[in-house]
Amino acid sequence: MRPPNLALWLRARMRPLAAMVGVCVALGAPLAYLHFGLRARCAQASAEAARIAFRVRQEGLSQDGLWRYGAPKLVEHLQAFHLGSAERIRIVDRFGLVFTAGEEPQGATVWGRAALLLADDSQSAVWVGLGARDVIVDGLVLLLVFAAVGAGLALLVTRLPVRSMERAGERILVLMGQSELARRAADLQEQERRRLARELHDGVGQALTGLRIHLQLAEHGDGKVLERAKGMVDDAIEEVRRSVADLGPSILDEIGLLEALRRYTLDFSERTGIPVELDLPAGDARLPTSLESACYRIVQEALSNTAKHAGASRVCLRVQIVSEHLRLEVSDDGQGFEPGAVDGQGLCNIAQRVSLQGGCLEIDTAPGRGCALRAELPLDVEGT
Amino acid sequence: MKSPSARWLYFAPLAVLLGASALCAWTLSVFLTGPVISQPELRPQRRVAEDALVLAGSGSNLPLTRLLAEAWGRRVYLHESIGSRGGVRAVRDGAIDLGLISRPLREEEQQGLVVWPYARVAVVIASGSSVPEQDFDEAGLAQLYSGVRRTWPDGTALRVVQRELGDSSHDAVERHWLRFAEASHEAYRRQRWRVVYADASMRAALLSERGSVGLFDQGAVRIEQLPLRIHRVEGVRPSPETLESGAYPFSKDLSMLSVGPPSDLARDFLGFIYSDRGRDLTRRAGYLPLERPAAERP
Ligand SMILES: Nc1ncnc2c1ncn2[C@@H]1O[C@H](COP(=O)(O)OP(=O)(O)OP(=O)(O)O)[C@@H](O)[C@H]1O
Ligand SMILES: [Mg+2]
Repeated sequence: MRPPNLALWLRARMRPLAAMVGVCVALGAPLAYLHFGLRARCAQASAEAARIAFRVRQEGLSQDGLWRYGAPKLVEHLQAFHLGSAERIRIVDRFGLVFTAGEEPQGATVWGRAALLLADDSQSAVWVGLGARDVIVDGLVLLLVFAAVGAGLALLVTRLPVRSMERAGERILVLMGQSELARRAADLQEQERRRLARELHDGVGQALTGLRIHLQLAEHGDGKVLERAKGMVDDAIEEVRRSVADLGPSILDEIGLLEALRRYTLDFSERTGIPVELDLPAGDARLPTSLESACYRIVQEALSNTAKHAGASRVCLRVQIVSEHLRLEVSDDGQGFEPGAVDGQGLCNIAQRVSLQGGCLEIDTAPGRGCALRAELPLDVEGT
Repeated sequence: MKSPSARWLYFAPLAVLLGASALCAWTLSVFLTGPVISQPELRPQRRVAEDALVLAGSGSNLPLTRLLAEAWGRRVYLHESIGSRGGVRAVRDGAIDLGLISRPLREEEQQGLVVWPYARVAVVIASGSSVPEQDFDEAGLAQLYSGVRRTWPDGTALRVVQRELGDSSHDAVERHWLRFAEASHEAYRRQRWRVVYADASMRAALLSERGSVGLFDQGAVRIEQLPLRIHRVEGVRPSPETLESGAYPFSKDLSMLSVGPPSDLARDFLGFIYSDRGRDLTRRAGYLPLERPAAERP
């Protein structure tokens, strides 16, 4: 099962959002500046138009309909002497343009209007134009600045969540791998239980069944049968001892890992005739249960591989406890193997046990050069 | 897990972009819209009454013209000042019968107009009557306007009253005295003195403000019998005689304007002005009467 690519999904949704943020930031302030700047300029133009209209009206009231002819001179005077900032002035009436002062508009000009309120013409008005180029240029500069800010923000808005999402995805992958491991561990346990059942059935069960038959025969007084039954009981005891040794972990509770390894290797040498060189730390320090049983199982499998495949003349088992870690090494002088080219359950199980403990495994071997299996397992199992 | 359904989300920023552009366009269109100017229609001619003569133009012409119109005895409607330029335009538009100007016509104004010069008036340096009579030369007047001289001999503060740019009285003096012209323009630029816009305002300023001085028409002073002090220029007192002899330098010519030949009523009024009685009235009012233009003589 592959996890969904959350980062990709998020990116698809964050990008339009980021574009939105970018656009809003880039346009918001410059547009507001432009709007209010032009509005202020417009208000200024209207105020000047009103001042001019007031004077023109004042003069015009006494000039009757001839205000149109008197106004130009007055406006030019006002523009030259009183109203430095009124750049363009136009006076209109219902017939059209009466008079225009100042240069004709070049570029953007904001216009303000004031009615003249002269009796003979209700449509007459003064228009004042003020240049607005500076406002527009400032607006464009602001637009550039804010566009840069907006782009930066947009980048941040997408990058940050997508990055976190990528990390989360990686973490999820790791967690999923770990749960897979846990499942395998449960499988392993199940397998061991079945083997135990099989061994009890095939070993102790067979022996007890045979014993029962012999005991029935002994009821009818056959002395030789008793002799054979005694031999069978001995076999059964031997069988149980071997099974218990295989089960291992229960004796770990009683005597600890190091002592259990000593006994197991003794038994191994006895069974196979291969001497085991032991290098264990002194004392009988107790380790976490899961770590002890993992070590025990790993040694069991490694020794059994040596016995099965290596054809070794001696084996060396070394356990060291070095700063928060337990180092385990099983090395033989057997025929070795090509690490990539093998296929079996035992080495897989070893690898899984090691990674379940959060440790690391190294198998150092080559054909004709023996085999050394090294595992380094953290002592603090809870922390992993 | 590619999600094509997220693509529609791009419409949101797109919509914002479009909205912003629309707002921008709206803002620009609202604030940058100027006056809508239709093709100028012909302005309607405006007359007070068929049998009245309507006159308008420079304020300098008004006192004498009013005097002459009253003596003529027929109905004359004389508008308040609209300036020489206004007079030229109004007569061209047919809004009045005769335009009044107190300066020569500019080249671009001349076409189609007939000029009837009828009086020459002295432009005088006038002040309130409390100021003792002075004798000005070019440097002396320039000192007044440039603010070098601040008080009259009796210690009262000196207050110059200027006219707007292009005023005919200022032009008449500046034509002769260039240093004065410089001083006057500089004072105007720096807004050193009060600038009034009309003859009436100048009259009011000279009469009411102690120590004020400005350029004014001698004719107006005499007709309205204003209590103003008129100063000498290089030792010469202004009068129609010193004007005529050329001893007094500053003057302006008052003229009437008609578009082509004047109407009968206007011709009658002009005839009266150029008659012996009209010329006599003009001279007694303190103006130098001028001849009917040679081309228009009967
Ligand atoms: N110590 C060793 N010396 C030589 N060959 C070895 C050694 N250990 C393992 N091998 C090789 O690696 C192979 C895989 O070992 P592994 O323990 O995974 O499987 P297996 O022992 O064959 O079967 P089982 O699943 O019962 O353990 C073996 O078949 C053998 O060829
Ligand atoms: Mg094996």
